[in-house]
Amino acid sequence: MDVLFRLPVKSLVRFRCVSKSWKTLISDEYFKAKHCNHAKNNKKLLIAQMFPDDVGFVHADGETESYKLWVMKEYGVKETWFKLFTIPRFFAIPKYVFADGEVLFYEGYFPYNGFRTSKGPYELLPSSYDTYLQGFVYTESLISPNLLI
Amino acid sequence: MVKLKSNDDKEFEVEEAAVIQSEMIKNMIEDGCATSVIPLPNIDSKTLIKVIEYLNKHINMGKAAETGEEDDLKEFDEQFVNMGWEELFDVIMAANYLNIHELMELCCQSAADRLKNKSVRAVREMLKITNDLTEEEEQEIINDAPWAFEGPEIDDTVN
Repeated sequence: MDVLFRLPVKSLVRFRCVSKSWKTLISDEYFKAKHCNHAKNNKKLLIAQMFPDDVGFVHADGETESYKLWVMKEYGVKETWFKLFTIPRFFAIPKYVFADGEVLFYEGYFPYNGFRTSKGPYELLPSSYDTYLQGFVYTESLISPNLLI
Repeated sequence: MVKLKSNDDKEFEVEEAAVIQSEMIKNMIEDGCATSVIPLPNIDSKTLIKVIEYLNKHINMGKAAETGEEDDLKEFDEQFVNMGWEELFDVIMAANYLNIHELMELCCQSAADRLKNKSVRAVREMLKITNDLTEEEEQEIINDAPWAFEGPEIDDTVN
């Protein structure tokens, strides 16, 4: 079970076919909740919103024209604010932090319009990067939205 | 030094600082139950050697974060999980028994990564599971979500 709740939704939906006990386990509400929780915990939230994850904000210094990204390591604990990095002459909205520390940014200001990562531009993105309008972080879950209504 | 004994009667000496990454042994030491050799009836020597290798490498994890040796540790972890499927499961069982959180995380994630794109048939074979679903039951599950059974990434090989 410790292995299974690390799997993506598509694999789990397929693996219901492995045996009766797998079908029961994967359809179980407790398993679904545990899977959802694990997926959420693996995310680092950067935008200042009310989520029990990491919280961050952007600080753009007008005088030196440098851009600083701060992250709150533990939500609600003031002492855990931590400066991730500084980039000169850059302004963008952070969207996501990857496990290796790379940050995905959205740049919505002329002449740039699109996504880039902190190490280099556009490495991770589909080729037509300049046509994207917005991006969102999402968590895959086995829990059906019908249950939430 | 703490002495550990595998189920095939081999003894290993491990530094206390390394071995207390195991919650189970840490509790034993705190309760004063670790004065002589600690027998581990669920773990064979081959697996125990792997576990001790991990513990010794991760002994200074806090320090590594300060001195920028994190990359080195990451590389070690990557190499460490590069082992056979059966071997990986033995290490997971041992990490679970000894309650070594970080090792459990690492190995379970590696196991999940290996299973992720496998076909149903391959998963059954890898985990030695007998299919007890009837053909109708199986078809019903497939009809329920056919998209989960299609795609170029699905891998039918067993390794």
